[in-house]
Amino acid sequence: MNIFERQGFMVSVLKNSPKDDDFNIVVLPGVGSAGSAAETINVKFRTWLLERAKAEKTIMGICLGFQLMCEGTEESGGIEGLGLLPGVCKPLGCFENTSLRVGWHQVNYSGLLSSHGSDYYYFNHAFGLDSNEANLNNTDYRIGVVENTVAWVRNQNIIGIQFHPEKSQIAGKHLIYNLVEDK
Amino acid sequence: MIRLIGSVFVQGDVALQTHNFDNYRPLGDLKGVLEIYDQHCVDEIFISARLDDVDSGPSSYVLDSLIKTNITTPVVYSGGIRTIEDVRQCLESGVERVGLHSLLFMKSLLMDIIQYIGVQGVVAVLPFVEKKGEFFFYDCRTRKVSKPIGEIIANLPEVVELLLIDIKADGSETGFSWDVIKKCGNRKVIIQGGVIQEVASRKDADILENELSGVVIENRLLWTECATQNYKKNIPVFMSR
Amino acid sequence: MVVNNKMFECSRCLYTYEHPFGLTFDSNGCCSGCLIHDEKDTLDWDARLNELQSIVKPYRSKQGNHDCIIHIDGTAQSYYVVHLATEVLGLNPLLVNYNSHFLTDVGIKNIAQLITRFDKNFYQYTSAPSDYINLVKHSIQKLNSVYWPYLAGKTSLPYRLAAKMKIPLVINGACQTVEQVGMFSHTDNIEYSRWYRKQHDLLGVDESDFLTASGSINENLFNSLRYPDDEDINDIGIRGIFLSNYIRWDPFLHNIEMLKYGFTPQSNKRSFDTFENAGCSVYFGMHDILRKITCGHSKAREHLSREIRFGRISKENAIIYYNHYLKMDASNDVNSFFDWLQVGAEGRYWLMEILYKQTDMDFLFKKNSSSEVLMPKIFSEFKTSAKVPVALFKLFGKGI
Repeated sequence: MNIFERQGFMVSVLKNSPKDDDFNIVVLPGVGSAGSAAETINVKFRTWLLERAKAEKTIMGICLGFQLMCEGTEESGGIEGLGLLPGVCKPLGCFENTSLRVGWHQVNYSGLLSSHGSDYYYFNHAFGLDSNEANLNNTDYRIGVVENTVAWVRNQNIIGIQFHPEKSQIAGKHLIYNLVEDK
Repeated sequence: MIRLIGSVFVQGDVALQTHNFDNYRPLGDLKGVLEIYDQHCVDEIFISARLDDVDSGPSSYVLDSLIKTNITTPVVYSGGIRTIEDVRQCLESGVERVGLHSLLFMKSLLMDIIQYIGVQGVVAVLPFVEKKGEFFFYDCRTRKVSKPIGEIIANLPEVVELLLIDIKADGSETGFSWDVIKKCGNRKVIIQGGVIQEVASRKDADILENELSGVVIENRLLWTECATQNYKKNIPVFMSR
Repeated sequence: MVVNNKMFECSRCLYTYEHPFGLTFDSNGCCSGCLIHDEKDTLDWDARLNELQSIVKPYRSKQGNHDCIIHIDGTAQSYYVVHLATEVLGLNPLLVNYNSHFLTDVGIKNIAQLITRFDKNFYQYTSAPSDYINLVKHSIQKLNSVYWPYLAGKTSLPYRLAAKMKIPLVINGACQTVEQVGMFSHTDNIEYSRWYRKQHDLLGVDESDFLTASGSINENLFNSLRYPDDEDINDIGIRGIFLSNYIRWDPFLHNIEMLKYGFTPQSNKRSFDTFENAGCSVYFGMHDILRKITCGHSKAREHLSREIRFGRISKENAIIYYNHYLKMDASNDVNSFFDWLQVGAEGRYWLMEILYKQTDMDFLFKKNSSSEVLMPKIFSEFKTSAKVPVALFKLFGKGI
């Protein structure tokens, strides 16, 4: 929340689906594991988020939030996601040489933003989306990758980010600013 | 690339410097340290707190300081975490990962915390002492040497990242006991205690990157202007972003 | 001494847990300051000096250009630092001064004497009096300090000039966090940094924080307090080294040596040391009084602890002296400060009574018949050379 507020954006933290939806962007944040977060989203926000997506309003998921926007994740014994992005998140060890990705990686953000370039962002995850996931080859989706993992995916108003821009210092602040300002 | 991690130790409501782990010198206010680490772009910040009452939960001084400073560098916090509620408080204050020490021996609670925060959210904090070529866990709670460290590591979930702290070399530039890494199997580890000159002087960067995921530097990132940037510029294994 | 299960006062010196820099204690109740002080008798200081020589060697100018910057004021330490830089290290410093607006006639004379005796170029920055007075007013209200503006100025000016004039080496004298509380070992070779400045010199508040809090400080004034950006610092590799890390620092012995260069000590009521921080209208006056009120720490405690550590005063006698200094008449210092600050009687009383919750207004504002300043024997022989200042809060003057 702070990374948005400090850049001058007005932020509301929702505990339930809102009656009026005049938000420029809705963010599904994420620290933690899938089980408890999924229950909250599915019970309180699912219907509203799916309607919002249909209305082509922007939804952005970060880390766990991104994974819950996919079809599902194998974490916590298997969780159904919102299906706004294709694929099921799996343990990294299934498609990478590592079971844990903690640290900074360079990511090309061309396609996530309208500008071109790359920067370093902080990752902290044990589950992820395989970048060779067949449905992502659909030209509707633009993706950025780190090794075989999807670092970000965007289909117009639906944005999923695996890394943590709010923990990525100046690079993260710039990314958030440009995403909200739609640049 | 290996993460360069800045550390700070807290007792009560002051930040301190540790030397040989149990000797302390004053340092100042925690917020000032967090701000400068954030400004100079350390890759992570590791905060460890020693509490007068070990069962009172995480340090409120640390959590308040994190809220007030609004840094955007990932933080690992260790000290006084006993329950899921303690973990939740840490996350709400901006902590990204929690360091567990005494809790490593409470397997059921450890697994509950991993279930709650994800295995990526946990760091196993393992101070150690070398005796006659063998490595033993140092229990901060009892302040005594305990079991062989290999035994403790073997009982941890495979994926949890380990932080190995050489307590005799703590606060020094050299002296880290590299052989302890052999006890970790194929796990990636973070090391602390007499590491910086060791890492700087080793030529086998590839091997270092295979063995290590991070290096914690206690105290000396504050001793000279722009120390973090200079280490990153001059030591190839650190990432210059 | 233990209070609430916490070690409170050092078993050797007079420092307590409440020291603004922080203090730790070992299992014998000895504070970190005393423990690090013991290094003065165990380190190989010849080797340390050799190390210092090798540090400065690459900076030493062969063409006679300025190769370092030293901030000076009217104190004996300024003389000693310039002496070391020129006579021992063979450097050619540019001397600089951020005008505190607090100089006495003694301070102005000392600065003039220093420049003349060492025959060095000198740059002084003076901000407009009304701006500076405003700054001090804000500083009293927000930070409980009359001295913050000067500290912000004197700790930024050398580094700003270093960046502008591409002179990368700044020489500082004593590292007070080492000397007072043993925050670092001498061998840690701590150097000056943005963090050190904000945390330990500026009470945790830098000029950006101050501007945000006060809101009315103009940009020129802000720029006169600004520490250079990291980019400027890294561009030429600016370094601020502390000589006290490499030379066995004993202020008493070093300061009396400076008499040979024409340094004049200034008498004060709140300590026996007439060499340190000489030349200032407030350091042993309003600044020390406020410091005692807000954090329980007075300069006399520091001086006495220093002399206990050097074995020149016993702790028992130090306590007697300390209690004596706390009772010395404060009214001249307090009133003269408020005159300079252009605050009338009502304002003065409001500040001290309401803001600082003081109850003894007579002690602060009415002249008491306090006894003469007590001096330990080792210092009393220098008493006659200490001058009572006749002019306070001078901006400029003819020094010699």
